[in-house]
Amino acid sequence: MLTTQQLCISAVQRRLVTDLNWQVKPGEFWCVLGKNGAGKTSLLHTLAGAATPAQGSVLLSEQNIVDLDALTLSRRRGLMLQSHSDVFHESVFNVVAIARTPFRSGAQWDTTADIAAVKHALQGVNLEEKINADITQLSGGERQRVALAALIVQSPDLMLLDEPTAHQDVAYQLKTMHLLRDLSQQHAVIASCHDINQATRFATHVLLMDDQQHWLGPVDEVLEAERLSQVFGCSFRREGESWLMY
Amino acid sequence: MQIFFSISRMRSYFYTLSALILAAVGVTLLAALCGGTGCFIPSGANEIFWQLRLPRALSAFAVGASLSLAGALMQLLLRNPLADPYVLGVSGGAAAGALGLTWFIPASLMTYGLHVGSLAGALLATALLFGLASPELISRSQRLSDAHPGLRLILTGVMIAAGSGALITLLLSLSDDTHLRGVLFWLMGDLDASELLWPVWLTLTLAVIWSLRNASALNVLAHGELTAFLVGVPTRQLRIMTLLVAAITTAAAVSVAGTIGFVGLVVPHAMRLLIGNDQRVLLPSSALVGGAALCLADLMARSIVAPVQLPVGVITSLVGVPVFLFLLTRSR
Repeated sequence: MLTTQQLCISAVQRRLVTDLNWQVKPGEFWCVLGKNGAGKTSLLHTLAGAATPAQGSVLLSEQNIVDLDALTLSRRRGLMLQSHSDVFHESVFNVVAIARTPFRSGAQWDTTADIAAVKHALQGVNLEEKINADITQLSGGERQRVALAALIVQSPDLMLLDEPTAHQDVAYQLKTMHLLRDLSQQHAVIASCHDINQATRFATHVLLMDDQQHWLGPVDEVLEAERLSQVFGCSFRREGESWLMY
Repeated sequence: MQIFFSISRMRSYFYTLSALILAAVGVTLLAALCGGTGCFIPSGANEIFWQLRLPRALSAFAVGASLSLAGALMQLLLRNPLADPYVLGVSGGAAAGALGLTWFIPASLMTYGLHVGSLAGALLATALLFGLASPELISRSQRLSDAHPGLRLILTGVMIAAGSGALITLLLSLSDDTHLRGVLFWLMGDLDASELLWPVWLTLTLAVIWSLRNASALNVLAHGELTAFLVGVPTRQLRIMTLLVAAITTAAAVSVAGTIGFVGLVVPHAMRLLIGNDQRVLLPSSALVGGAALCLADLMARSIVAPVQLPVGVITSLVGVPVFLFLLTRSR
């Protein structure tokens, strides 16, 4: 599915990711962990082909993403953004429906299948009653769930999500993580997270990013108290299934 | 139930556009039949109707439609409801280019000079605008984003307009007095001497066809470059084509009627409030209503203080400036 070869990503004055060799398969749910500014967003944008890496390459189904056109890419990978700048007043339906672009052809009027897919996805994130609401009037959490619905409608092989639980209350954080775990049955899912306990509970694998280095693999192999303390700069202790931070 | 949603939307778009076409034809006819000397139904080969008022109404329509369509495209591309060819200095650049070129070429080539000069000026102003305010829109950027340049773009445009204005004043002060009044009127937006009908109708027709063919992709682009790219729309060619179409239609309108401000700002904004932001219906509606609005504005300019004729740009600016300020106070 996704392969990176010697991937290096740079910000203005510093190196964010160095020599990342990574393989992600369908059925895997990866959480990308790291402190603020570690490069999680830059990494996701690079994997999506929306940013150019400093070195190395990103392959989707054995093909380098720079050789794939926008339409092919849109079927293989999707990215849910962390923030949204809505300028024009539009219905929630329209915002989600543009994610059907990869399935359309010709005049692009909404077909029955398009409408059903949008409704189904909005039901999945408990926003079906907002289908005709104005996108600029939604709360931050609702806007983020609309973006999640759009990604579900797009249904790419590889789903990339930048902080999908941000702005969500506790109940919706859990619901979102459940949803992502369900989605990872058929898709490969990579999400950047902040909550180490949620990552432990729901993800199958973790990519832990620190300055200059990273660790990747199954959750239990990567997440160790000493390593977490080193990365985040506070103390960690494992209590049964959950982590305590102090 | 579900299929009706789409069909009813298609049907409502059809009715909206049909009604607007009828209204536009009606307004254009009204503008052609009326004037400072009152309204009349022409009988047979009426010279005033066929030689003066009808061509003038037709060019007013084409100019208004072109500016309105250009404004709608710029607002979409820049994701900024304040964008407009006049505000962003594209009209000013076209006027300076047209004036500059006519300054150097013999009078016999005047009409070609206006066209070529305004096209060159408009493209130059557009390139300058985006080069300075939003280089990522025209260059191959390292990183796509949905962010829009906002007020920086408007300020850059205002500066380009000011610079074009200074150039125009310079050329005017160097030109001889006999031409001055005509040139001044042309600059303020004047349809009096408009005899160059077919180029502006041709560019308008091509621009409308292009807009309709690309309306679905433009709908996606309205959500931002990055979002559009992520769902499979190749944004680079589309945004450059959008810019070119907007600049060329502006240039054609300016070469006919000088700088007429705010049509491209007010009309698309009003239409977006009335019928929503679906480009499949918004772009053609903006063109139709923009044309009709300029016909009406020109009718007012001709008849309010008849027999004196006001430049139509005065009317559109008197309406447009308060609307712009209102939008500015509401913008984030």
